[in-house]
Amino acid sequence: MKLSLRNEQGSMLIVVLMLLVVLTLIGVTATNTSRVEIQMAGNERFHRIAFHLADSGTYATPKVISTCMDQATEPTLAGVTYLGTSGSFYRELMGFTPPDADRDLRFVLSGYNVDIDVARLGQENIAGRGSEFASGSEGVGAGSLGGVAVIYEIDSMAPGPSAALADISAVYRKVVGIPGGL
Amino acid sequence: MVFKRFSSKKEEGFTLLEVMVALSILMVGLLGLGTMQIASIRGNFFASRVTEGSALASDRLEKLFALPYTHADLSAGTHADPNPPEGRSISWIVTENAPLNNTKKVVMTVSWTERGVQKNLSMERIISRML
Repeated sequence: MKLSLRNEQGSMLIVVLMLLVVLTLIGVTATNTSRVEIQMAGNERFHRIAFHLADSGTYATPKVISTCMDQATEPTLAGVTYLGTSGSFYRELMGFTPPDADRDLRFVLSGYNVDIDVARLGQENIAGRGSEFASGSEGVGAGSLGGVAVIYEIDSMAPGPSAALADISAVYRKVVGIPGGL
Repeated sequence: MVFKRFSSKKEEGFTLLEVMVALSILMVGLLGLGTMQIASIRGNFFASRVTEGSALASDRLEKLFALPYTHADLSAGTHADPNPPEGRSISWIVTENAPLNNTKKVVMTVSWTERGVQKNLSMERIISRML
C-alpha cells in the first residue's frame, strides 16, 4: 500500500486524539483550580491562627505594663519573657529611656513566639471637673481629683504555620494609681 | 458517475476496526479524566470544609471573647458545644490565669470526619479581664 495524505484513512484516530487533548486541558485546569483552592483554604487558616495570637498579645501586654507600673519594678511573671536587658523594659515604660523599635516582651502561645514592642507615646493630665464629683463618671480616672494617664503603643507580631505573620497595633492608656481597666 | 462515487479508492464512512480502536482510546482517556475530575471535586470539597472550619473556630473564639470574664463557658476545663453545625464538633479548653494573672487561655478545636479520617483545626487566644 502506498502511503498518501490524500485519503482519509485513520482520520477518526486523529479526531479522537485531538478531543482527548482538549479534555485533558480541561482536566488539568480543574486539578490546578482545586490545588489553588486548597492552598487558599490553608493560608486562610494559618492567617486566622496568627491573627488570634497577635491579637492575644495586644490584650495580654496591658496586664504586664500595669503590673510593672503598679509595682514600680519589672516583676518576674511566669508567662512572659523580657527580651531586652534586665530593667530596660521598665525604664522604657517610665520614659527614662526613649522608645525604641526593639521587641520588648515575648509570650509563647501554641508554640509560637508572640513578640511585642511597647512604645511610650506620651502622657496626659486628666482634668477634674466640678460637675463630676464621683471618680469614674467619664471612665476610669476622670473624677473630681483628676489624674495622670500614660499612653502606650503596643505592636504585637505573631507568626503562624507556613510562615504566616500577623502584626497588630493597639494604643493603651494606663491611668496611674487607679485600679481598673485591663 | 455513480460508479465513480462508490469506487473503492474513495473512503466513505469508517471501518469497524477504526471505530473500535478510536473508541477504546477515547474510553481510556475519559476514564483518566473522570478520575481527575473526582480528585478535583474532592479537593474543592476539602478546601471548603477547611475554610468553613477555620471561620467557625475564629467566630467561636470571638463569641467567647465577648462574654463576661466569669461566664460559665469560660470556666477552667474542657467545654463542648451541645449544638454544633451539622457534621462538626466544637470543643474548647480554658486555662485560668495563663499566661498571666487575670487572663485566660482558650484553645478552640473544630473537628470533623472526612472519608473516615478525623480532621482537627485548633486556634488559641488569650482573654483578658477588665477589672
